[in-house]
Amino acid sequence: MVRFFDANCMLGRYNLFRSGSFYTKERLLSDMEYYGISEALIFHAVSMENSPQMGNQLTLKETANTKSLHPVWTFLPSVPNETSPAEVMVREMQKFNVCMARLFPLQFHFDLDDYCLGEILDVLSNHRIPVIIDYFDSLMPHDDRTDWKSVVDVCRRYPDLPVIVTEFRFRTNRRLYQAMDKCPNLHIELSALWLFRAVESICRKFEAERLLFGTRLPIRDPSCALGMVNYAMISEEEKELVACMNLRKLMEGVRYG
Amino acid sequence: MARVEGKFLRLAKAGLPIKDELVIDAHTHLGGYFNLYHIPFGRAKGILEQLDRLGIDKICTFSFAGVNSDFTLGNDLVAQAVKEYPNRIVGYTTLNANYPDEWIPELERRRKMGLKGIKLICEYQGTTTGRTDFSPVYQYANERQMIIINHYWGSPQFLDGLADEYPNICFIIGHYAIEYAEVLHKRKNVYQCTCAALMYGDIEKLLRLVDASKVVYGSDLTDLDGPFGLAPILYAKVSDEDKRKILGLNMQKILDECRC
Repeated sequence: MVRFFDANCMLGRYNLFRSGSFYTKERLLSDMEYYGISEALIFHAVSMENSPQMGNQLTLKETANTKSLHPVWTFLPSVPNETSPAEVMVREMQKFNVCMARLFPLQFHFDLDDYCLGEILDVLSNHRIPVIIDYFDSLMPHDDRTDWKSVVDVCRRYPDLPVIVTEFRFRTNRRLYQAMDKCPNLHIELSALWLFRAVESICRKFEAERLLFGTRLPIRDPSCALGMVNYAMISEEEKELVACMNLRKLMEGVRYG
Repeated sequence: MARVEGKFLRLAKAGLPIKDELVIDAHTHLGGYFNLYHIPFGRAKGILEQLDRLGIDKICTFSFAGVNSDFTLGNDLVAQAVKEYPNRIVGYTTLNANYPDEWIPELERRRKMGLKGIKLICEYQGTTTGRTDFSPVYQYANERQMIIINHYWGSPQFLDGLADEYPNICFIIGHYAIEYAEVLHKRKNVYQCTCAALMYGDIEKLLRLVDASKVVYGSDLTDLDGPFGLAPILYAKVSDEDKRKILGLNMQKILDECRC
């Protein structure tokens, strides 16, 4: 049985809650057991919808003393009284063993250009802290809103920075393929990559190392991404990479020393 | 709802094909090309490889070209696929809302080629089903007990009216929705497809409102990935008996009743 490490899980009350879903750690752990997901990267909904500063603290609270849950911290372009400078945040991350960063450019209305994010990306790249760029926008559920040009620019400006893109590739892959071709440090998380035989296609065109399993629990049904990996026509070794090892390797690559 | 760890869940977790069960995918596309994205492995060989990998016996299929390009080219491709794989592919004729003069001749030509159903998808053709007078199509389908699957039927009231007026047509709601629950209760000739049930607990939510005997499994392959549509049913926290109906028994009953 393949072991799954979910790169895209959220806890806490969120705006567009749907009846039948959940937001508590207890329910998440119970579902992880049901679906066969052994570990998960967690961010708190507040860090996506309201304040990374407060959300990051809530993320720590949710993941504390639970070995299967790993915290991710969200960054914003720093503004006094809203966010700490990136270097300060990274020192805090080290203290709490947080090995992944997250950006929500659409939720918080910023772009990835140097003038906006240069300070943060410099620091993340220096420490090899992988960054998930999440184009989730709760009010625009279907279109690909990924700013691929900016993603490619970031990957090229910071070739040592592992970049992971998630969300809204539902109806597109041509720009995705070009971006992956041009940027060896670009990785894709699977929770919204739903196209026909997409896992096999990317493993063949590029490498299994470029894909990370993720579900976007508790918003999406985790079975979609689980099924795409479990039934992909790739080797067991490739499945293991996609399902958990790639994410683990990226987290182990962080240099806090 | 009870958590039942049955046969289908075990197969899904192990990534094994479904065996000794009837599985019919009620909503698929073929053709290999689409303007919006590249379709890898999109030819018949690539489709059949995935069907075998998943354990799907048959697919009901329509073309990509029919969605937003030359629908007759698309129907040609479907007819060819039915001819090549008659035991695996059930073909549907896609109609373009903007060519009313061609609807009936096209249906007649395709019916003679063995296509059993009709696919409507007006939203990709600049209009809606409600704004298009498909009455000649409905009459044609009603006389022949045909299946019509539609991307979007519009309001439940609109679909209810059609199901009442044309009782011999099997109306399939092409994409996951819960808004038609009352119509599904009320009308024997209306079914709900699971296609794109991607939000948390969608299948369980649907089955709290609608009897499993009115739900058919559809994946949208090769638009979407086959397991993306199949896995929500295999993993759903519902009984294997319900899963069996959804995966194939209901669609087989519909096909058996279709006279076309």
